[in-house]
Amino acid sequence: MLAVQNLGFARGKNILFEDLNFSMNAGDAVRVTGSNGSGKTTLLRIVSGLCRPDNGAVIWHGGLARKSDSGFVKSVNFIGHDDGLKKQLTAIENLKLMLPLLGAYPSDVEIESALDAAGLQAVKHKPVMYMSAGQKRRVALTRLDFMKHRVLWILDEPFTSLDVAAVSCLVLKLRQHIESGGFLIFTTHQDFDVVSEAISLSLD
Amino acid sequence: MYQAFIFVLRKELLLAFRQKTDMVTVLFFFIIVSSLFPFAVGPELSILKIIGPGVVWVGALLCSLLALHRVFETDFNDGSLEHLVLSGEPLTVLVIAKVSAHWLITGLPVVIVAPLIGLQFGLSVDSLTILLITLLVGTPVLSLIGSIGAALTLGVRGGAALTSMLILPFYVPILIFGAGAVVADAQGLSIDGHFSILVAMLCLSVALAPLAIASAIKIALE
Repeated sequence: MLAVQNLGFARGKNILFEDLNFSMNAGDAVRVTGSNGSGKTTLLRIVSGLCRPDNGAVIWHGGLARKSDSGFVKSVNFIGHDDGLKKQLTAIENLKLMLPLLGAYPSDVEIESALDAAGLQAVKHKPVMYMSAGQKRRVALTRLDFMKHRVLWILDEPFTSLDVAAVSCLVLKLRQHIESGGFLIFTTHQDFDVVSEAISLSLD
Repeated sequence: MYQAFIFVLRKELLLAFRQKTDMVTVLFFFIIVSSLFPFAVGPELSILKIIGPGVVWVGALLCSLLALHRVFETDFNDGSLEHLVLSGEPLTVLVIAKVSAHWLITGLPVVIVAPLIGLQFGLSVDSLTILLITLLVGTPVLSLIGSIGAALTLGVRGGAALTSMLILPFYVPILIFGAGAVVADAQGLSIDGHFSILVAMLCLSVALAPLAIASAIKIALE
């Protein structure tokens, strides 16, 4: 179980949120909403452990998430605005060298078939710098196929720059993840059907 | 942990291999800077022999500075640094992998070319050997200390200039003992003292710099 207790964060004098509380169980999805600049990304970064809150704490299965023995870091799968892809490397190389750090050791064949399934057959051997924004996003999201062991998915605007086909593919992945008992926290400005079932958390 | 180290190292080396200009730029800079001195100072061998070790060391130091901003900056900008922090592997180990890769790409080529540059200054074979050894011990210290500065200035505008100012004072002792060893040997003195201090600095920075770099990165990502 993930719980956020009395979370508060301010940038200088600008208070982004105060006394924020929510909790979620396995199989829950939380959608964070709010206008631009309301602190959605900051909240996701705090929950994932990248930032420290001014007040409050993130609790993972009853213990403080930031304690090293909580096993929290190895449960988090965070995909932010910056996808962490190296533009000189191909999609395959990027995934092959990134996934082992996250505890997944797929074979080349598995990676290739995941990229094929994401509709990237034609470009998977090209350096990422020659890809469009949507294609890069697809490569970054292919990571999700290998992240079953990291149960807490924190996705910041995952649907950005994706076309209709890719969106429905991603919705399917998110659904499967939730149904298999995963945790999902995400932000988006669009409405999709995964999204309508999610617990809504407004920062406005 | 060991595997994570290998994967980070492999990624960095593959990236450097894809973008060879980075490596070549640094090496050419070193060759140009240190080759210009004999032209400027004149062909007087006795003078060249005296300034040779110092010039080569200063060249190596400037190269290290020149390449520093690349250690973490691109990773910071494209989000890979976040992935490293969130991987759950010890950040210090990943940092050592990154700095090692950085040294292999920008430090080692300089060390290998240095004896050739030394020849231009008429250094004896003994002096060249000592120059090579001191550079081999000293340049990793430059990379490690420099990376602390690079990590501290992540996300700061004009970070490269700030890094130079921050770390130059810490580079000076390495320069003194590195170049000093070659000079001392040429004068027939023992270099044990110089060499011991260089190795001590290497041990100290290998032990402590990764901790400092890891903390600086975490602060930069907040």
